[in-house]
Amino acid sequence: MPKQDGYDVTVFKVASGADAEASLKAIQNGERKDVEEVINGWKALTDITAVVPSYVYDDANKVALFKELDASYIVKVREIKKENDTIYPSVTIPVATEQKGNEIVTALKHKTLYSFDDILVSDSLRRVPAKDPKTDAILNGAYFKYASVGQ
Amino acid sequence: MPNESETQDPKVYAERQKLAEGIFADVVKNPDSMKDVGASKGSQDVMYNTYVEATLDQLPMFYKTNINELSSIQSGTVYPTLQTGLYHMSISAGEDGNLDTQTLQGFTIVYYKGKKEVDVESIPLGDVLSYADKNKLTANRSVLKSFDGKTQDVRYDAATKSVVFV
Repeated sequence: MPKQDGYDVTVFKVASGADAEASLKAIQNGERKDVEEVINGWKALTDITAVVPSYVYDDANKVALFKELDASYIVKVREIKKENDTIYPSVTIPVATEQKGNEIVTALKHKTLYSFDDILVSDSLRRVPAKDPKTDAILNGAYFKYASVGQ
Repeated sequence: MPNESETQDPKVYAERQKLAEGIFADVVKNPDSMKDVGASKGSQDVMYNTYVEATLDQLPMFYKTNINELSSIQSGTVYPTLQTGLYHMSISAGEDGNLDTQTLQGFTIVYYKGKKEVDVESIPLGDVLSYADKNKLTANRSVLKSFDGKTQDVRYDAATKSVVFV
């Protein structure tokens, strides 16, 4: 499969009969109005056009309205990853003070490394001898001599 | 055949304890024999493990709950008592999608080889998430772009009043 650009995107389907332009304005303002979320997260362009066939990315218009035969869709692109980019996770931890933040950084960067050897003697056996269910005697090789693939 | 019994047989438990006490006595007399003694009894459900410069997160659960005691003795010595109970528990998704819990428990003989304090240059994402979880901090995750080869690091960001991992 050839590499594709990745889109961090949310696709909204506008409710039937609703004012699509009003829904678009609401989403541009960070709100939602008469829409249903149908795609969210990092997607390939083909994932988006499977739902919104007329979708074309416009760098100057990252939140855009597309009218399809079945419904109107609003596509909101947050980020694009080119095929040669590497995406990586980011984490943000809000803190009350700089001191607390620096404490967390120090705690994360400072590590204690331990070296141990140990021997674990399991308190039960993973395998047990096969026993005759009637006599409780441990079965020997003779018991198994009739076993074969054909039986 | 596989032991599928879920109940502990007291007779088997006593036999296993006796075996462990025997190994413990041998190891206390001659700590250098630990590897040979442990590794030679694999067929008897005896496991020899070695951990070299591992963080607490990388060690089995047994160490996480007892690390202060286990690392309080002089390095290069055997912990003076035989430890009993849970060694490690892992939970994984089985082929049927249900969670499968596997536990290792029994009698543990510990040889402490020492510890050292280091400041690391880069931190894995898992450490940041694990720290936030343990300390009940909110960790907001997102995905960013980067050029190949960039090293991720953690720092305090005054503009957003946050600790950021980027």
